[in-house]
Amino acid sequence: MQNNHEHAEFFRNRKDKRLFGILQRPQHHDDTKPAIVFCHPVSWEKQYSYRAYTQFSRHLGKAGYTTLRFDAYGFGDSEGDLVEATIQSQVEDTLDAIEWLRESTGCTRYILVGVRLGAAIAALTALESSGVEGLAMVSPVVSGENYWKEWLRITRLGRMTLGQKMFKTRDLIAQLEREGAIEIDGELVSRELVNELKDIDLTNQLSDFAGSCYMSELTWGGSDRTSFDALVGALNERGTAVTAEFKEPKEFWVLKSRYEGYLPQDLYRRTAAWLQELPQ
Amino acid sequence: MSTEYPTWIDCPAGRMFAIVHEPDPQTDNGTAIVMPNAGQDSRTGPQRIYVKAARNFSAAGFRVVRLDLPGTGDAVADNPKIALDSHAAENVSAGVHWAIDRWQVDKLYIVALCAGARAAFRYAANDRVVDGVVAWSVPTLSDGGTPYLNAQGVKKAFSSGSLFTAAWWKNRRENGLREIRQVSTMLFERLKDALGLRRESLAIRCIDKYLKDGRPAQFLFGGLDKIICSDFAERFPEVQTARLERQGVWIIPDTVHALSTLPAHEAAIELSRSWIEHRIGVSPAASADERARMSGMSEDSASAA
Repeated sequence: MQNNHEHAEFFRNRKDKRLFGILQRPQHHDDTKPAIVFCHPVSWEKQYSYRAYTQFSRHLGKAGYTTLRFDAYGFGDSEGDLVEATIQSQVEDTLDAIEWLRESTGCTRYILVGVRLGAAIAALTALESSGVEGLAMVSPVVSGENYWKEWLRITRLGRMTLGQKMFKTRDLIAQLEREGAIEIDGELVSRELVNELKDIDLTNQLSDFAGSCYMSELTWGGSDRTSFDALVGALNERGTAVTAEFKEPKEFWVLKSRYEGYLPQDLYRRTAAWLQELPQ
Repeated sequence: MSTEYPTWIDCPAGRMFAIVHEPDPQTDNGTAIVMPNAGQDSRTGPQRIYVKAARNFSAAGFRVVRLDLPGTGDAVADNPKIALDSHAAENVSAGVHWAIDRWQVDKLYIVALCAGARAAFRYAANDRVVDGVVAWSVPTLSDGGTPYLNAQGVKKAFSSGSLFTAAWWKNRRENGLREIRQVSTMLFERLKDALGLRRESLAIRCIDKYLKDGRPAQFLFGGLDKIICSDFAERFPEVQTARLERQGVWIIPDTVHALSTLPAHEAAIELSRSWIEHRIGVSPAASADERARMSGMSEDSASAA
């Protein structure tokens, strides 16, 4: 279904599952510009950042870029449930989305954009796709282990608000091991996803990426500044072109920002400026 | 096989986005369900409850459209105003009339959560084309104040006389000025009530009108959403206690406002679907097992256009 320059459609991934995507073509196509693929975060961070992603995509579309935003299997409007999704399935779905974009538009050069875990998915995908020339990562999850600890803390808090008995972290982990999945924020998360999440360590994994990186973190350093600094340091050491900034005034992936109507307009502008400076 | 496809829908504010679910023609019961999004969430709803519900409804034979009202999700139309009642009833109307025009259905229901449910009532109260509203966690708090918020606590404070002691106020001050603001707002609103000066918010007047007209409505609340529950009970005691066939309240235990647990999702979806099925006089199109099997998407019809 077409809306001016946006085309919404379900497409098939490699496992013949239906994924939802919105492809936006610029009014005046410019072959020198890469296409932008947005990788979404997960759980409540996906929910609260949705409109910000939509407007991010539209901002870059107006700047002349072809963009694609899509839902991986088990997320959003795509087929399946979260319990069936893994980190690897999200990476494969991103590769399939890129392929669908290539078939639909002929674009062969890509920039991946992601927020939080979406940034990690973008980074892992970039390592498996020769066409990815750059990564724009906003408050990226650099250490999956640390992110998992955040999830556990929030899950414990959530269960307290439901009046359930006080769970200890080790009880939740034991339940995950015993039952193969646990409920996090109203959705079942599988042991496979958690294990793959804990294996994420971008500081080491991103060493093979030869493209350019734009990294933006909260002005106060975010929840895991140490990991962010380590990643920037590691990329600089390897000679990767990195632009790293602490310029996000607030988290646009939390409930409060959504209900304040906050959209990170400055991030949109900074990302567009970084894209302009990339080698054509 | 049920199918899903995206579409854009014109509305007074511009263009909304929507995902449409159509049932297998063999199970089609000729009834449409429109789901306006909840507050600032997109058409998927919190924890994808709208997605799960729409797939379940569609597998049972309903035609469903999940809306991104202006300013949310992928809607092109913007809506800079963010408040409980910032979604205009005219936009819900546009979604409903899109469904009627497209499907020529005999019956139409609206299912919505929180602010989406308020928008549904603001529209449905004035258009009898809607056969029923299923309201999940609809807040009946007023726009200009929350006169019923903390009503129990204040009543207790009044009756015990502690409201007039320095200790009570000191304790309130130390434990948050917000509560004092709520109490003073409530007292102010009650005073306006007594003087006949208070004008209730449009949403509440519309719910009131809708119910007084005897039109069908199902209200579902999370058992832990105590303020919203007690506020509703105080405003609409006849609905709360009678649980009439046409109008009733169901409480889903152990869950909060957004019904954000897996058992709550299942309960809300099952209760809503079976209530609508009862209203339209059809027996469930499929057994629970069959529905579970069918609720996964199928068919490729969805390629948008």
